[in-house]
This record gives sequence, structure tokens and C-alpha cells, in this order.
Amino acid sequence: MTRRRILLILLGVTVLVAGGLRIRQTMRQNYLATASFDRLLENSRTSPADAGVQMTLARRAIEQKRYDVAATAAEKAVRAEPQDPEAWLLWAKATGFVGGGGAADLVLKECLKVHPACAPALFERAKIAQGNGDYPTAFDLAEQAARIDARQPDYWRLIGDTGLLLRHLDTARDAFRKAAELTPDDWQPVVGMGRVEELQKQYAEAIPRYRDAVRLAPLQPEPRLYLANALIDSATTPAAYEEARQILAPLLQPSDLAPAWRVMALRYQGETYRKERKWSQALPFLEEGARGNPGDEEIHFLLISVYRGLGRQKEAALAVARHREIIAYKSEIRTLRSQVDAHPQDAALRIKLARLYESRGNIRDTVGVYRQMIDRNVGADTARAALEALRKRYADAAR
Amino acid sequence: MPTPRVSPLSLLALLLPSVLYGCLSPRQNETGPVTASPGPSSPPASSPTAPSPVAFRDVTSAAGLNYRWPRPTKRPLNILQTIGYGCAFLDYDRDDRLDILLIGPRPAIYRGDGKGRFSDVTAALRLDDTQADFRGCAVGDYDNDGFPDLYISGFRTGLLFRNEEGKRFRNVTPTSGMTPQPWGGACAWGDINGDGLLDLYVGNYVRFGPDAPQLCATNGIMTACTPHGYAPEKGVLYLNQGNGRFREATKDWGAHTVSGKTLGVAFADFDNSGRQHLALANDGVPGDLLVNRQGKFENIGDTAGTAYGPAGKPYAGMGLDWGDFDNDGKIDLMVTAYAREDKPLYRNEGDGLFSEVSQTMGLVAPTSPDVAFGVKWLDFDNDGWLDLALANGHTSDNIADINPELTYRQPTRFFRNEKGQRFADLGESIREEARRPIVGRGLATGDYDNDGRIDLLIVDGEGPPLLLHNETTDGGNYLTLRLVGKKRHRDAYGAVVTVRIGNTTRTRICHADGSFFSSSDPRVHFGLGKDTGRTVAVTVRWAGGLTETWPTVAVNTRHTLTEGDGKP
Repeated sequence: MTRRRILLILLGVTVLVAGGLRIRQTMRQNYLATASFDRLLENSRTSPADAGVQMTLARRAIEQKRYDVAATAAEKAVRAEPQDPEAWLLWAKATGFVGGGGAADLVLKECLKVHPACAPALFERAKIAQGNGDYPTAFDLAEQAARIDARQPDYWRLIGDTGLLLRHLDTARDAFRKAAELTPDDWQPVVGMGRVEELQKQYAEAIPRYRDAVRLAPLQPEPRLYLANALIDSATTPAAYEEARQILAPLLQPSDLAPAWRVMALRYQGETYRKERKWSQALPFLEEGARGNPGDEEIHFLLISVYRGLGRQKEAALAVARHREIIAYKSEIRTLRSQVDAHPQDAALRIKLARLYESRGNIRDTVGVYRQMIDRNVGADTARAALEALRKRYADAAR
Repeated sequence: MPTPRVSPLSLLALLLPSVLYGCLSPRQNETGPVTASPGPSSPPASSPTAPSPVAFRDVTSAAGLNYRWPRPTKRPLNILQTIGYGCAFLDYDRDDRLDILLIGPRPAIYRGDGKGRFSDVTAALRLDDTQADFRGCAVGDYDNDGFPDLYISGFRTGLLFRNEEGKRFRNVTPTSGMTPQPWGGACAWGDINGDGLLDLYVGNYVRFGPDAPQLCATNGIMTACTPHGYAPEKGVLYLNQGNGRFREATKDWGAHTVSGKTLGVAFADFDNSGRQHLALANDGVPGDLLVNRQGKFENIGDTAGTAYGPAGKPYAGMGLDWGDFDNDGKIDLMVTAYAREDKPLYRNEGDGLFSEVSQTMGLVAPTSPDVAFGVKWLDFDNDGWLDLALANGHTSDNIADINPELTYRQPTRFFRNEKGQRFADLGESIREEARRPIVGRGLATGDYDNDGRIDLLIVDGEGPPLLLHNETTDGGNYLTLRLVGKKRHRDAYGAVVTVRIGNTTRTRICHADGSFFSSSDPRVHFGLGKDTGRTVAVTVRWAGGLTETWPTVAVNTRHTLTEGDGKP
């Protein structure tokens, strides 16, 4: 047998083996893809070390919102193939559904011990930190992720978003710029650059950015609102107010625009007229805005001067009182939040904060305070009881 | 969104010698030589980058000011350690040469020779054994003996010193009826009830002590807490009873209806009522504007429009000052605030209403990065328009660790008033020595060498004071007026002075208060521009409402105007 013939035989065998394996793998994937949930559960029990089965089950369980099953299966997948970062990420995701961001973060930390350069794990941790209001950590983690994989626009956007909140403005602007380079059709990093420039009072730079963002996403409310706001704040000529009104016009048409966006559009539209001392034209927008969000202190502040301009002193006095009331409430909230920050183990302060939110019908933040108490184990039992009582009273909102 | 508006959603200026007497008192003719010498005319600077004739030189060392504020070694600093101190220009010995008071744990007084040299006279004045956590000061002649007295505020203290004919200061607190304040800082003298005796308002800041949180996490790093986590302390109003006694009348006068957390206080008759009203700059809570309704203050901050920033939200009010920046005869109000906050300029629209105009006046962008404290209106180029100086410095000594883009030390800013239409940031056209980064806090104005140009004294919370000599070469004519009250209190605080030049008028007020924890030269200074004749007409509306006119007052010199000596 010549050497050539041997090589040909070996090649043939290799092809056959590889083909067989490929066929087997495909058949297995098809099987897993089409298997019923119960079947997958059964397979998970009989083949606990089969990472493929476990991951398939975990993904399917997440689709079906059976998060506990998903978490168990994903954990088994990790135990079976700890070198697979995908398994870790899946486990973290499922665990997050069951135990919240804190639990997911623990999984991700473990993952990073095994895969220290796993950019998605760093990014996921960054998002969890961002969700918890821990912006410094979010910023740091997102930067780490971007150092590992600089091609992900989401990483740069998160650096930009958290950088903005931390007032690391130069860094934020650079990050948004990189995100925009990677996704030139995405309006969000363009708005991000504009936000940084507006914070630095560089309106001459910010306004063109916002205009660009409006061009990129004419149907999105945010670029229009940012542009209108910047035009109003920097206006030196009537033309700027007119442009702001034109920009806002689509948002004031009947549509399914979120109420919060609409209130903002109404406020800005009213302000353009107020700044021009066109009191009667400003009034309907501001009044509608105040009806839309009675807790918006800025609208009531604007209404004070508009009512005065119209000589409606009684209404002006009422607007003053309403504005003062909102400011007092928000000031109390801010003070309590600061005290909670200074005394993180003081459950009574947290409960006081939750009750203050609840007194104004702010269920989302009420729930947020109780959940944080549970997460941080500060008066957790009291918080659970309060949350349960809240659920009973405001079932839908709390959910 | 990040801007205040959107944020909820995104996570959302000779004299008739026979008429005008020496200034400080009728016993002393203090009319001085004309020393100012306007240079050749040139058009005003219109942009921050254009060459500016405005010049300030740091003369601290040459002047003999060897004072240094203590620099705590344990870092980071808490809110008490970082809040800073005040300073004052005063003429304690009535020699018509300004002296300097520096407030710290050990206050110091430097006597000026009127030529630019100062010598430490703290011990000679018997102030060397005075030690407490002092913070601010108010200078006023509460006993009408012609010598300015001192109130020194502080943390858990507050002392009244009587000036004994310029020879010593005696602590008369125990017999005055005044008590230590929880955290006094800003303080001001004003005759609120028109009895000819100066009353005192002392602002208080927050409830703080060893049991209160010392440091808080910002961006995960421990640093001074913001005031939001502390309960407010409110100020006190002391009514001068005469005979060295004061009565606390905060509630009687309705001065308890304030927000607290006060860092800036200043009196002014902003509505030509002849009465003294009081503005308070408060940190993070609504500002207050107490209108004097003859026996009672009414807080109209909300309705007047001075309680909030431009977006209708409270801001970190620090220092403040009254002045008619647009020469419309109505006194306006400037307030300093935190970084990334607009520093509100409230234009007096009349009828008790104010409009916030910082953006249109060009103040927002250049002041945005600064945590601004001391602020004074001064016409540093004597062109007849009030300019602005702001002392800046961050409140977190370790801010650079928290945000590498920010610094603890920040540059002093100078804004030139472009005929009431806009303020130009003089930026780098000002000598580096005058704008070098410092931990800027208190700031006071006064012409210490009587050259007709207003100088500056600034507190660097972690270094020596900063004495800035005004060496502007292309300034206009000027007029310096010392007002002496006879029927009312001698200091004539609250008097409104108007100078008529042709068809235009300039209105200025006689006051020492304003800025941050500081006290300025109460002499009324007018920049007059270059187009004045050799004399101008001066009208004084004395606190209380009496109006008198001096029709031909020589320019480019100093005069004393005594109540009752003018033409009705």
C-alpha cells in the first residue's frame, strides 16, 4: 500500500466519522428542538450531566416562565460544562428571574472566576449594578467589558449612560461616540453625545446632534424632546421657539404616545409661548400638562407666571401653593433618601420613605423600597408583610 | 433624561466742600485726593478671549497678609470642615483706610496703611485670645458710636464684639442677650424697624454634630455628605434694644417661616419702600425673600420668583448679593450655587416680582462647572455697570477621586457687564495669579488703597487669603461715598444712592452684607464711565425714606454725605 493510498483511506475515514458526528449532532439538535417540555424534563432527570439537554430545557423553561426549572437546569449545565460561558450566562439569567439581580450577580461573579475575560458576563453585571443604582460599579464593569470586546455598541452605551450620571462627561462623550461609530443608524448614542454637550452648556454642539437624532428616528419622542428643550434653554431669537414648536408638533397630535412623553411635550410647547410672553397661547398646553401629571412641579411653576401674565391672580396663587406643595414633598423624599444612604441599616427610615411614597400613590417606588429592604435584609420580614399588604390593596399596580 | 426638565423620565459711582463733610463722621473731613487716572479710551471687551483692560494682581504676600486657614490632615473632610470661612474689609479705626478681618478658628485683624500694607493687630485689639469654630462675620456699628462693631458667627458659637474707639474689641456677648447658634455662618446687620439701631440676622445651616453622619458615599467613595441628609437649622433675628442689649424676635417678626440651611443673607430695600427686606440663599431648599411689612416679615420667595432656580426647583444656594446690574433703578439679586446648577440672576421687574435671567445674560455656561460661594457686584472697570466676581471651590476635598473631571480647587471668575445686556466671562484675559484655582469661599470688596478701583479679598479655605489689587488701567471716572446717618443709624445701611449723569442714572445701595459669610466696604462706589463732567448730582434716600440731594459732587474722589446736610 502506497503512502498515498493510506492517506486517502485515512481521509475517507475521517470524513465518514466527521459526517457521522455531524449527522448525529444535527439529529440531536433536531430532537432537542422538537422535544416536548415534559420530554426535556425527563431527559434532564435521566441525563443530568448532558449540558445540551440542560441548556435546551433551561431556555425553554425561560420561554415558559418556569424560572425555577430553568435555573436548576442551567446550573446542571454549568456543572456539566463549566468551560462553556454560555451555560453560565444562561444560569445567571434564569437565576435572576428567580432570585433577582443579587442572585444573578453571584452567579456571574462565579462565572468570571472561571472566565475572567467573559465580556458578556461583565456587561450583565454592569447592567445589574445600573439597575441597583450602583452607577460607579456599572461604569467600571462596562469599561472592563469594552476593553475586552470593543465591538459591542451596548457596552459603550452603558459606559455613556452611567458616565453621564456620574458626570464623567468626557468619558461619556467618548463612549457615545464609539457606540455611534459602531451603529451609525442608532439615534441613542447621538442623543447621548448631545446630552453630554448640553450638560456642559455647549448648546451649539448639542443642538445639531439632537437634530441628527431626529433625522435618524423621526418617530421617536426622545430626540424631539431633547432638541426642543435645548432650543428653549438656549433660545435668543423667536425662531428658536418656533423651531421648538415645529419639532414638538408631532408629539402633540393624537397618538398612542406614552402619557409621560406627552406631558413633557405639552410643557415644552407651553414654555415656548411663555418665554415669548404669549400667555394665552401657553395656557392650554400647560393646563393640559398639569392635568396629565399633577405632580410635575415645573409645569405648575410655569403656570404661575402665565396666570400672572393673564391677570388671573387667584389661579396664580393656587399654582404657587401647588408648586410649593410638590416641592415640599420632593424635598422630604430627597432628605429621607439621603438619610437612608447615610444609615443603610435603619429599617425605620426605609419604611418611612416607603410610606411617604405610598401616601402620594407612588406604588412603583414604594415597592422598590420594600424590595430593596428584602434584598439587603434590612427589616426584611416587615418589608415582606408590607409588600403583601400592598399587593392586596394595589394588586395590579404592585405587580 | 439628564437635564432637570427631562430628568424624571429617563431614569430619568468736587464735592461742595461747604456741604459735604468728611465721611466716616461729621468730625472728620475725609475727602481724599483724586488718584484715579483714566487711561485712553478703548471699546469694551466683548468676548472672553479679547484683550481686557481689567487687571487684578495678587498682592497678598507683599501686603503682609501672612494668615493661613487650618488645613485638616484627616481626609476626607466632613461638611463642617469643608464649608469654609468668611472675610471682611472694614475700617475699624476710622482712619479712612480699610483694614482686613479674616475669620477662622483664630480670627485675625490686619490694619491697613492705605498704601497697600497691612499689619497684624489682632493682639493689640485683644482678639488674640478668641478661639472657637468661627465661620462668618457681620460688620456694623450697632451702638452708633461711629466705630464698626463685629458679630462673628460659627458652629455652636456666635460672639458680639464691641469696638472701643478703634483701640480694642470687647466681647460683649454675655450681656448682649445673644446666644450661641447651632451653626451660624451668614449674618447681616440692618435696621428693620426704623428705630435707628442696627438689628442682626444670623443664618443657620444644618443640624450637625458628632452623632450625625460624618461622611457619605458618593459614587462609592466616602466624602462630605450633602446637606440633604441633615435636618435644617433656621436663622435668628435679633432686635437691637439699645444699651447693648438685643432681643430675639425671630418668631415675632415672622422670620421663622424660612426654609433653613442658610448660607447667604443680605438686606436691601428692593422695592423703594424705605424698609429693609431680607434675602436668604439656602442650600438645597427654597430660597427665602422676607419682605418687611412694618413689624412683620412676609416670606414672598415663592411668589416673587426668587425661591427657585429657572426650572422651578430648589438649588444649592450659597452666597448672594444685591445690585442694580441693568441700571434700571431696581435692585437685582444674584445667587451662587453648585456645580452644574445655574447660578440664578434674579432681575427685579418691580411689583415684588423677579425674573431669572442667568441664561440670557450669559452666566450659565461659564459658571456651570463651578461650586460658587462668594459673590459680589462691583464695577471693576468703573464703566458704570456692575460687574461680577465669584469665588469657587468644590465641597468635596476628594472630588478628583470621585470624578477625575472635577477639582477641589477652582478658579475665581470675573464677569464684565456689557451695558446690562450680557456678562462676558473674562476668563483667561485675567492674570493667572488672580484666577488660579483655590478653595474659594468668602469674598469681600473694598478699595483698600483708595485709588478709586475696587479690590477683592477672597478666602482660600486651604491656604492664605487672596488679596487682589485692582489694576485696571482703562477704567472710567468714579465716586466713593461714605454715608453717615444722623436721624437713623450711623452706618446708613440700606440707603439707596442715585447718581445722575446727563439723562442716565446709576443706583447703588449702601451695604456691607452679601457674598458668603463675609462683609465688604460699605462705602458706596460708583463707576461713572468716561463721559461724565467734573461733577455729578447725587441723591440719597436714607433708610427710612428721607431723600436728599447733593447737586454738584466732584468726581474721582471720596466724599462723606451726612444725613440732613443735603437738599431736601
